[in-house]
Amino acid sequence: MSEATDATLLEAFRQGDSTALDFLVERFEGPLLRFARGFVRDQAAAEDLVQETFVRLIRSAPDLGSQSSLGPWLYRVCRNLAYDTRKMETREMQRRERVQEPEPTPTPVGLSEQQETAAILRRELDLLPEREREALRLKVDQGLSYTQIGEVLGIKAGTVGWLVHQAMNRLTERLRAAQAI
Amino acid sequence: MNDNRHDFDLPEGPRGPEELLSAYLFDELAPQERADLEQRLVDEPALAEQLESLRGTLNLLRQASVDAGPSQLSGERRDALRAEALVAHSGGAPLGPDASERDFAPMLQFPWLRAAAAGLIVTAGVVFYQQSWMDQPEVGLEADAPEREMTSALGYMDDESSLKRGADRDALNQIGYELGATDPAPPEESPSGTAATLELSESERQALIQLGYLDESAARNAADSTRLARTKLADQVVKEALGDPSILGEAAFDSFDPFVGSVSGGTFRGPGDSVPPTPTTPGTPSTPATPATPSTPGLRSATVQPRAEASTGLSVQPSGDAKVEAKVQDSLRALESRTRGGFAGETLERRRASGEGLYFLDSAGQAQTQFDLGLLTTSYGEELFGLDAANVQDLQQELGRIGYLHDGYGRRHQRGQIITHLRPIHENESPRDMFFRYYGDNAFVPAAQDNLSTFAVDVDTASYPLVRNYLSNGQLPPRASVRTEEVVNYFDQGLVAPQDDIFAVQLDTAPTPYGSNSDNLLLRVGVKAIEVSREERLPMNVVFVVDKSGSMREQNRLGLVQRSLELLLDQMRDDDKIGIVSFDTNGHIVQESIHGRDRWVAREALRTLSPGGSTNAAEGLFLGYEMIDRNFIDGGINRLVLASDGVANTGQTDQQRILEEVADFTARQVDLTTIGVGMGNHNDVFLEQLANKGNGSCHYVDGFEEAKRVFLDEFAGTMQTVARDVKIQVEFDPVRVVKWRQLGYENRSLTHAQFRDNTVDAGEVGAGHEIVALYELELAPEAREATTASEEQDLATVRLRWQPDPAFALSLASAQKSGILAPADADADRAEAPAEPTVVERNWSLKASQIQSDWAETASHFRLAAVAGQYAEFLRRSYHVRGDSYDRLEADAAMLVAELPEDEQVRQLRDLIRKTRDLVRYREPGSELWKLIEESRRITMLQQELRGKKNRNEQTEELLVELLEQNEKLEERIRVHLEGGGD
Repeated sequence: MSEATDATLLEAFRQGDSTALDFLVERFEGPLLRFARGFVRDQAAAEDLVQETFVRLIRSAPDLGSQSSLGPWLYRVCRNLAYDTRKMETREMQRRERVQEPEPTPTPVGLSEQQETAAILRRELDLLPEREREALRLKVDQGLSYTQIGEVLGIKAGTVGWLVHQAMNRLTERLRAAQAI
Repeated sequence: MNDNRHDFDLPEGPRGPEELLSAYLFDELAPQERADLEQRLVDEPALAEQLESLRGTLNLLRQASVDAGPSQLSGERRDALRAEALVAHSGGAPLGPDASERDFAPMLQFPWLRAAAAGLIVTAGVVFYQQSWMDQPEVGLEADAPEREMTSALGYMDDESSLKRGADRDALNQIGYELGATDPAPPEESPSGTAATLELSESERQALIQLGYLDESAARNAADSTRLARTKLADQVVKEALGDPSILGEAAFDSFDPFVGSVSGGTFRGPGDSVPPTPTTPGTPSTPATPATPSTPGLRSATVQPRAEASTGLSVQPSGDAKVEAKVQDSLRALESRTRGGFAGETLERRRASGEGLYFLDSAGQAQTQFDLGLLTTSYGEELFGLDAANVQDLQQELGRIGYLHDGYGRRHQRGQIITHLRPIHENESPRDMFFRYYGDNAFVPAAQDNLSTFAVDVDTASYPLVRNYLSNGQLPPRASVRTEEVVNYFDQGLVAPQDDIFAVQLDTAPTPYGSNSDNLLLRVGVKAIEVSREERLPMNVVFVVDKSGSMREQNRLGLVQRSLELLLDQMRDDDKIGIVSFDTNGHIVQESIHGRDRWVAREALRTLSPGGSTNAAEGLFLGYEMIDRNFIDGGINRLVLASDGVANTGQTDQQRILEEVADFTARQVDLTTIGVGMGNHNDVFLEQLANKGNGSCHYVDGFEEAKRVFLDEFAGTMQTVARDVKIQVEFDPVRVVKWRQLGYENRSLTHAQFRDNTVDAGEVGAGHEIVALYELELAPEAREATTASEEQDLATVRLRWQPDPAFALSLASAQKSGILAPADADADRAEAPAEPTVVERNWSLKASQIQSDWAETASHFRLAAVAGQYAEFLRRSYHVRGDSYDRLEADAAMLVAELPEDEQVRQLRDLIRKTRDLVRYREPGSELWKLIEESRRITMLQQELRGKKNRNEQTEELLVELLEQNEKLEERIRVHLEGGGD
């Protein structure tokens, strides 16, 4: 049954087979968690997002129609939830400005070359325009096609190609400047 | 999503060569494009070089994307999802519109709703209960939305879209949901044909009649007395609505359980408790009709005459009839097997194979929403029925191992233990998702049965700042977060420090202005420990263990911890030792232990900490304890200071195990202070229990001001322990005192035998600490009219038992102050080297003549303790504050502000009381629902008194079963009210 398509599993779930959900969860939890970690920093928050995403799936199952792949739908939901959470957190932060910011902490020294490269890469990824970063992550981390990424982000496949290309170019330039490649 | 398209999409056009390169790398080119590009790569070396660069970047990206995080959801989360799915399948989940992609905010705001719906449907009662107890106009819970959402999630009250009227309504009516028959359908259209497939056996019916739970006429009516379990039917209704043909002719249940029957419909009734047919309310087709008068005369009379009702209304015929008894046992067993859950075929096998826990499912694998007795072992039992932790454990033992279940607090219960379900807080999230444990209210104890109150002292004050933090955010604190004794102990008690002993005890008593009976007395037992100056204190060996996990980034918790610990550093003397350990995913030594004169080095090290990673508290604690060990100061203070938001999620996360490991170290006189920060994630129970096990105290720091209080003003008390295992026992004169109850200390109570058992761990007390315990006493009428002859008799005796801190005792002795140490005369020669810890016991007595007659003339600090205690009881929604008002409390607090003008804390208390009063619009009792809830609480109190009875006999046990059942029925009616919108 685990080789069944998303559509089959979804239909089975709709018919009341709870194990179908287990299979769907197993299929998507890993990729979704990785995806979610790109939005929120700690694991618990990422798990929260993913759990919530699946809850949405359960609730929306009757209305989903038959989808050949649930991936794009799940990513889209997860992404929207992440933005929602972020909005709330921003508000929360504004409310809690009583406690002052500490002085910036120095960057740790003595990292291995590999760690350093990874740190540079993370920093540069953070500096990418949000759309580009998202498109790139969906491509590299999740292996979605341009068309599927377009579905997630609500844009055309051609635009995805352009965003990915921009992101790759920017990163390559910066990494080259930092002599990481 | 289509809306987004035009705002971003680029016009389609030919792709430049570089864009083609990316597409090539990602295999997104059409075959022809691909071939063309490959040709160009051969021809143009620059392009090929560019491709290699891009490939390099991609490789780095791929390496980085293999990130460290787990790739699976935790077991709890998976369970929660399964439960959610079950609820959805049993007809619960609101399907459709709310799943639209954009409108997520409302769902995120009420995650507890989901938790409740998924884990424990009946939390509905609690939701409503809170709503009715306290209107929370500004608390972020829009009054109607949660209820509506809850009830529709339950699937029993929905708009026209999902349940059609008529047959559905009938079905609901049949299972006890009195929606009113606005649209009476002909009998043949109702699903009663399928419903009536099960019958009570004659013996079962007889047993129920004998117990007074089934009236004969109802019993004769087989169609009425046989009911499907409600979920099953609701499931059918939904399936029907969805056009599922599979339900036709399906046998509903393979066994029948009278106990379930008794809660699933209006058929099985308590004596004198007749629920009349619901009057029809025509003309309201779109909403389920509210029962106009779901009048319950039996209940009403019970409210008016509680005691009489208890003895007559609950009349279990003490039949001595073995058959009846056996029947009850059978039913309990049936119940037990049901709550253990069962699986259908493959699902069961699969879950068994994977070693997962059991769900509460029926034989068809559907969600089993009848939690029955299991219900009482959850927060619902705690919240609504005030069961204490011990009761809960009893029940769970009775039930056997019931697998696990989730409750509305996001906690998982497994085999009698609560396993915390970890998740961060969202904005507007109900406090129920957080981690406080509620210990229930102490009941009045008849002194004739038990005239001893024994407990371990508690010097913690964490609860009050926590409460303050909630209120400053415009939220009422969850009742479980309020520990009365900690709120009281937060305030200055104005006690006089002892000069010639470790402790001084002061007793005050006066008629209480609070509570239901103005003849009752309020007794304050005030204990004050000896004060020690900075120069007098012992040299310290301190290790800070700092949580720098990712969650500490929120609200800059780590920053607050850093500044707080710097305050502590300021208090160091040159002869002290200080080290720093931090932990995230692992433990790290930040600063090996150094001398106090080099404390600036430690300060620098402290400032380098930055948050990130998960929370491996166990490893941090271990490193810290090892460091303490390496630098142990014999005859000094050896103390670990743990600062955390308290949620361990990596390494050893089993709190019990962590606590056990800590216990090994504490045997070597290493003390532990825990500092809790943050609100959402602050795991109050964990840190408190850790401090208890670790010989220390627990502080909650909600801001820099509080940090200053703990680390500057009360530094000596925080760091210098003067006595260990301090226990208090109060003995009441059983002739004069009819009943007594203690305010607070619910989780600190000891058995009477433990008082003199020196192996029993109790609370540590630091220099200058004040500990106050409050009691409400009901005196015998003759005792109230005190005569001169009776005035010198003891009303109560307070015994204090402790073990002087050996190092501190020694230092006192060597400082030529041996006179200070009480047992010095007896142990003068042992003071040099106290091989065995000496134990001291003293007593103080309260004479009848000490009763002050006028409340207004008692000492200000006594009244301050009373106001603080009463305020805490209010916040706990204690059973005992019925009838008291916030206005009175506020007036008393205002008076105290005038009397104690220099005490800033008193002013703050008054402001908090005002704030709470504004938040809470106290609803006058009177509604039907209110009465149901009050009745339920009353029964719970009765249960507790019965459990405390010395000579429990068969009849007691039967009565207890009865009470349990009564409560189940009440709870069902509360639910009916809720879902019928009955109030």
